[in-house]
Amino acid sequence: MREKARQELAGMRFGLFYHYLDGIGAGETREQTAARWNARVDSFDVSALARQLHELKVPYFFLTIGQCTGLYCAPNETFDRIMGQEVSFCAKRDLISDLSDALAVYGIKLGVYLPHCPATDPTTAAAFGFTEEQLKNGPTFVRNEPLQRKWEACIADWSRRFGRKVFAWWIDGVGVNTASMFSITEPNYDSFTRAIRTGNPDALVALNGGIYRSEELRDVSPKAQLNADEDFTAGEVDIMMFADGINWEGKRMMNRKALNGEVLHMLSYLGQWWGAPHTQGPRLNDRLAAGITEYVNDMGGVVTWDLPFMPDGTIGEEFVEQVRFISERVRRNEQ
Amino acid sequence: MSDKKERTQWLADRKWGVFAHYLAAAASSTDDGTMSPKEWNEKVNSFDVEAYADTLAYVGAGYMMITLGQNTGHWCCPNPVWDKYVGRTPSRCSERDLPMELADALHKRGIAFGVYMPGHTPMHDELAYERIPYKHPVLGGATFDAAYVEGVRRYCEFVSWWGEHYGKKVEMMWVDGVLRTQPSATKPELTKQLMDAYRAGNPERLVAMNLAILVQPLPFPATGEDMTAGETDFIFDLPGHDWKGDYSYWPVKGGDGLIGGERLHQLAIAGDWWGQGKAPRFNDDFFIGYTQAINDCGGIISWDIPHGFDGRIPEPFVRQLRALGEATNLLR
Repeated sequence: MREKARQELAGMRFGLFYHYLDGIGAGETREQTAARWNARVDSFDVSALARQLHELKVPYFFLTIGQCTGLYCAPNETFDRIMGQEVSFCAKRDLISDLSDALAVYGIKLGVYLPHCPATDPTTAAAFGFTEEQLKNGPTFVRNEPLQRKWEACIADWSRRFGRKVFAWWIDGVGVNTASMFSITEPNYDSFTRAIRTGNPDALVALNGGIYRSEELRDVSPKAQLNADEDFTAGEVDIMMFADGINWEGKRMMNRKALNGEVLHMLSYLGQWWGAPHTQGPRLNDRLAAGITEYVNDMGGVVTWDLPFMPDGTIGEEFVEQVRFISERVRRNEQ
Repeated sequence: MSDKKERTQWLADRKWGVFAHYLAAAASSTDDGTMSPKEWNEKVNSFDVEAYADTLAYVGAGYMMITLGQNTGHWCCPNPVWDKYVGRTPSRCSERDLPMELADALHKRGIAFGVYMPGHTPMHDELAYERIPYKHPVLGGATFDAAYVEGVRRYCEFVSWWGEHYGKKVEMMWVDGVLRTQPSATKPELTKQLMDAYRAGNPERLVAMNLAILVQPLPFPATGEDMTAGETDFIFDLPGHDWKGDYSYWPVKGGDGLIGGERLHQLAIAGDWWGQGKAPRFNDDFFIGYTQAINDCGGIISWDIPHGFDGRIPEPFVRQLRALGEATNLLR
């Protein structure tokens, strides 16, 4: 089944992605933050977005459940139990399930984004048991089995809740969490991906090893996380994009072996930055955005474009025509 | 208006150009140049300059650059100073002066002209390496001593000969392999000597000094170059900045086109490798969109296109270049 899902993903050519995130406001009480976040999540018009994606012929869509701030757009009892706080930062509304239902009307699939560990604000860090060393030197370079187990339990809770309403998970930051992920004994990649697939054994998974930017490391081709049960490459691209070619020795530069049989997938952004305000406009011209998509498609891959959105959750008005242009171009190539 | 902006504006107005690796061995290969002078002369003589210039006019190219030579010591033009020092008979300098003919044919059609030079003595020509010991810092081990200084002087002498010989007909010079570890890069007096050689015969000649392939078009202002070399092969920079907004590889859209005080220029491969490929590696949208993205930042891009020794460009590239010319409103 997963192989079929992989093939379906590769055939979709392109999809969209929102960084739907918020943080704790300066001077806010926990109640105020939760109220503001819940009001915002409640205002997300899933039907309007679904209609828009259908009209633009976008075959799949990704939404962040949450990222580094500890605010999540779907309930999670396990998370709340670990936190032990009276006021939850998990939204009361299950925006993921609601959006998936709205998209399903048009046959559009929904994927989700999560980081490899919970937020590191003092309250969350204390509840999940971040060590002082983790907090000082970054949360990820030290093996912390209890923390990893707790986060896996939270992920499993969300996965059970969403079930088959979520077809793919894109997990950020695993490339720096080597102490946990590369372990021979669990918790490791195996237990992590098993948690992700708790509610949907056919869910596709991408684990982000990070973007590569250095003068020495010149290979930015998407790579598989070779020790993991991964289905598509995370393929994060910001201001450097890989391009194939054959050097003078006849060596092809796109390393197919590094894909390990996974779907070639690239994730980049149409706005000025991940989740940038829609008012800042597109960073790429229409032809380049479409050309990049077509280029990856021609290699058998798929591109997910992060883009800005309006307060009601519909696509940023400055980006609608660019998405239409991309969509028309890639469908032209199907004919 | 800054000096560099003013000096380079005419080139920026041309938006993009064509680059030709016209070499006796594959670009950047370690081939030591087994092509005989006779065969090399036959190849150079086969170049149909008028037909080629017609093709570039047809696609709307604003300028063209060609390699004078690279690693093997084969040059597509004469140079008596080179021959004096190297002393090889027969010479690997062609009898035909291809750049001179190209400059004349292209200028007649309103197309600017430039050349490529290695930034040191060709490193796979052992005889030349011995006689003109301005060596590559990695291959051959350049060390700062009297022999090295003399090597730089001889190198400058033969480069200057070309500069004076071509004068205003060569409007750009793209210099390869100018590593920071090269002793001359840390000696201002040698740097000045080299830059004077690159601009000999034409003080307005635009110079780009290539620091080797990096992941972004990095300026090298210590040399006094006018534009970034911008060598790009398998990584393509995109507009944008990092998450802090701290850096960007390109000037902002609609800005002055300068990065580190120099004009943004990129040199990229349109085929599979420098001078190679039967068909474009990019679709038209990518090729055109990328060019326009650089132009929107005030930058310029040179597309390396495969050329036959007779100067013929494979049809798929002609078609794609023509589409670019049309999209950038440069068709004549």
